Amino acid sequence: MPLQIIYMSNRDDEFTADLLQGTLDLLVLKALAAQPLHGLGVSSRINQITKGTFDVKPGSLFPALHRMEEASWLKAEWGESENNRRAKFYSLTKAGRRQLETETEDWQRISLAIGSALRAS
Amino acid sequence: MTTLLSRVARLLRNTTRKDQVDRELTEEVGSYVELLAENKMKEGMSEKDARRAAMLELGGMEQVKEQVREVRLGYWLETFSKDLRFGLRSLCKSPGFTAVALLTLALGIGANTAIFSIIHAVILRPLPYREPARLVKIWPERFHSSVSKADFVEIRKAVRSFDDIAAYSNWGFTVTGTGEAAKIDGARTTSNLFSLLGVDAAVGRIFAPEEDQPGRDKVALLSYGLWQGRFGSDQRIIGQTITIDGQSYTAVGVMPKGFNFPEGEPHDLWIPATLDPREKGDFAAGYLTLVGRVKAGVSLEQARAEIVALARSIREKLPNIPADYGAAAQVNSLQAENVAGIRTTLFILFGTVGLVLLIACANVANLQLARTSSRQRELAVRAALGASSARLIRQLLTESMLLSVLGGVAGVALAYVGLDFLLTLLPAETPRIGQIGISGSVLGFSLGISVLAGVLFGLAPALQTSNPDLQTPLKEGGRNPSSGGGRLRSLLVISEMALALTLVISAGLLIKSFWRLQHVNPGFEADQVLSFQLSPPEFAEGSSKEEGPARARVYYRQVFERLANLPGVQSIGGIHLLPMGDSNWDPSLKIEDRPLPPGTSAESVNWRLVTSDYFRTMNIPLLKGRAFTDADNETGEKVALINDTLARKYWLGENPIGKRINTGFEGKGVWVTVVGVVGDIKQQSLRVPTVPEVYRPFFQHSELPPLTIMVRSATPLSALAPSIRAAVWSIDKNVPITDLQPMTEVVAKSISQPRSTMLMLTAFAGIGLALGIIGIYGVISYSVAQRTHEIGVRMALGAQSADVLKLIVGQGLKLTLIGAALGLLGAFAVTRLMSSLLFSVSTSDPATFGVVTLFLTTVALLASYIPARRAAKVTPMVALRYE
Repeated sequence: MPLQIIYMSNRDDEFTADLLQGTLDLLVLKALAAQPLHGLGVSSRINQITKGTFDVKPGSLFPALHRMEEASWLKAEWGESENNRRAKFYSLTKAGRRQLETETEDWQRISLAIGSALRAS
Repeated sequence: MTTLLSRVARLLRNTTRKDQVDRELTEEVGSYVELLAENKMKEGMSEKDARRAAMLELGGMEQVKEQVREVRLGYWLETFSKDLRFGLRSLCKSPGFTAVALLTLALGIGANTAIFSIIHAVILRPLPYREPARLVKIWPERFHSSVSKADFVEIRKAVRSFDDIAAYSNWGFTVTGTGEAAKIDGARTTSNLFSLLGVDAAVGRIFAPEEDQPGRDKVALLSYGLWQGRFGSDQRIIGQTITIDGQSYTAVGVMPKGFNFPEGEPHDLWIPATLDPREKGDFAAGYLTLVGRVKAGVSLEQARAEIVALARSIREKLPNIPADYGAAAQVNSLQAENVAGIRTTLFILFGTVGLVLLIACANVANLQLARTSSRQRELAVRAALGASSARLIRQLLTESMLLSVLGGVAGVALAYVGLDFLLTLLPAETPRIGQIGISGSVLGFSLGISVLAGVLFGLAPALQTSNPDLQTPLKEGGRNPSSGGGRLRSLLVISEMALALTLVISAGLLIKSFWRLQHVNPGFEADQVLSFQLSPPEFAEGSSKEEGPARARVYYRQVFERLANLPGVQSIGGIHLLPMGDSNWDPSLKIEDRPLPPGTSAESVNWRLVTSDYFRTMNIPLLKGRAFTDADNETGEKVALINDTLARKYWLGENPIGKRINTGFEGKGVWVTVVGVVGDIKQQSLRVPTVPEVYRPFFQHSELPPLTIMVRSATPLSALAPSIRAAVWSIDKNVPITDLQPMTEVVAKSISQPRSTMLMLTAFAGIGLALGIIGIYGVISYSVAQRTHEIGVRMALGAQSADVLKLIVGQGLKLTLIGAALGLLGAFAVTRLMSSLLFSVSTSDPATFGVVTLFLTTVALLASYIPARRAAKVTPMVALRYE
């Protein structure tokens, strides 16, 4: 059962993996690092690279995409999907790449620290 | 920088091209669903199933869109303006609610604005002097009495914790020469006063340091108002001669506009208090008030300690000084001293209007609760359509804010109109009364309390909504929901009742106190007596002419003669200080052959010069001996009358007639014989208990001060006034006639401050009471409306009208009684603070507490009886259909 990311939702009648905002941002940035993707593409890409651990729901995905676009980490363009549908494609800006780098470093530092903390007896 | 620019561009796009942004979002989410459905079809689902599954996974188009909107730039602004417009629309939709709520808030906020504007101008604004925080008043005596010139010189010479000390004494001057003779209030000051305050003249200069020395002291400073009025704003006044009290003074300067020292009633003229180094040992005859500038870094306590020590050394150097002279010296901030008289009153009023605002808030909260209950369905629908509860609360709070700010605007308007009326109630001597107005800071305060009020009464409906139950309101088809807000409403009614009771009890105490004050017997009969003051310039104090007193006697005798010839005049008396006026002379009393026990100080007695017919004119009874006659003149034996209090105190059971006494004003070793005892009167004010008093014959005194003349007349006093003026001025046109007024008015003025406090507090308590009663009525009738269905069922099952009546009134009674109990506790706590405002009424006067509680409970019961009777008249059929 994948963890559902229903980010910043106020519904309490659904199971929520209330991950930190930074985690979702990092996953989105990482998903877009290789190529521009539309919304559904981003969510399947995340599912793929996390080996099915995270399943990002639209209610979390779209707010995140729009917020990051407004922060100039992403830019969006209308284009055609693989089966000729109009879709909005997101790609990383320069600022987005820099953000990906710093967030990756931060994350690694944190996960190392947490890991060693958990291993400590 | 580029990010900032792009964000601004985004913000603009989000707010100005909303439709396009929204269309794109719909398309984007739509394409997501399409793509998802296609993926599912590829996995083998039918097109219909795939679409359904995709829609389910999306979780609702509108919800997703709303979640995106919530993270967007400008979201807050957009929703705020949306909420604002929505709020305005919904307020317009229920005009009854809006009108009542706005009126309630306007009353509460208006009352607070008005009182704060007074407090701001009178108490909070710093004095208009240089570094006003270091300015102090110094009281070296036991109580708030005055200092002699010799004291001042000694203290000023020795003092170290002050930069400087100055002294002044209020004085009424008679100005003649230019224009009509006029009496002008001002002060005699030491020459350093103005430099100590740090105020310079607007025209000319202030006093030079040596101008309080004899020979240099004939200089005068004018107020801006006097300069404008009497001297036509003529710059050439500087260096010119002005005749003050019959002597020539040179005008040296005009003080800036608004300068008024001491604060309070207007002072328009200042001349130096002459400090003659040859005048020694006048320590007993003090009339100066000291102000000082404490050195930076010196505390008031240190300064006080030094003054106490100095007073002790003065006392040790000189004979005949009371043992406790200066022992309780005080050094208080000038600002605090200026408002000492009115401070408590103003703060109690501030507390009162604060309570009124709380009641108003409770009322509006109640109204809001009732309204939110009937809006449950609307709110549930909006929640179902994707509005988060935070969003709903925000919207309700925006509505409350809108309401409170609109109420605040109405309140400021109300305060603006009502302030003029309040100012007529304030005593005329209130410091800086002319500067009271709706200033910027006052507006800021009003905005602040409006927002606070909005949060207060907006909290109740918001709390009720914070846990929205989507199901019930939708299912029940809009019928009234269970009484979720019922407990909150009861709580509000209870607190309203408690607050109103506290207010009305406070007002009740003041009313009773004022009633008592009004019924104090002054000891004289003020009806049909007209009083006025004559200040003949030539014989005023400071006149060097030896023949002054002799000429004064001639003049006054002429005045009495002419007045006696006026038609209707029954008798004419004179006294040198108007009873219940501001001034008092209180020398210490010595009794022949009765030395003071060691370690005690002589008692101060009130001392008055009166003419022979004074007691007859004022209808003050002669208890023993004889009254003064015309033979008690400058050549006659030196005699005195004493009042009953003095007679009882020193000659209880003895006959005081023939005993000999002396006060400082007779001169050293001059004994005067007591020839009679007269009845006690309230000499200073109706509030102040009678103290021992000595009366001396006016014409027997060596120096003749200005005289206040009382005329008892059989004809209407208004007709008498012009003929009095004509008669007095037929002798000498240069004598100003001031304070021409009926004696009843003088008595009324002496209780004008308690009167104004009582009136203002009663008015505000009345508003609070009205709001509280409306609140109770509103809640009971609302609950009756809610329970109509239930009442119908009860009646269908056999309940009688009387049972229903009992049920509803019982509900009201329960809330009222709990509220009353709390209110009584509150009143016990609060009225303590008012003790200084009360006169012969205890702060927990059982009669007032009882009557007010009974009254309020009755009114509250009546307020619940009206809706109860309506409920009792309900017929079961109507009630059951009522849905």
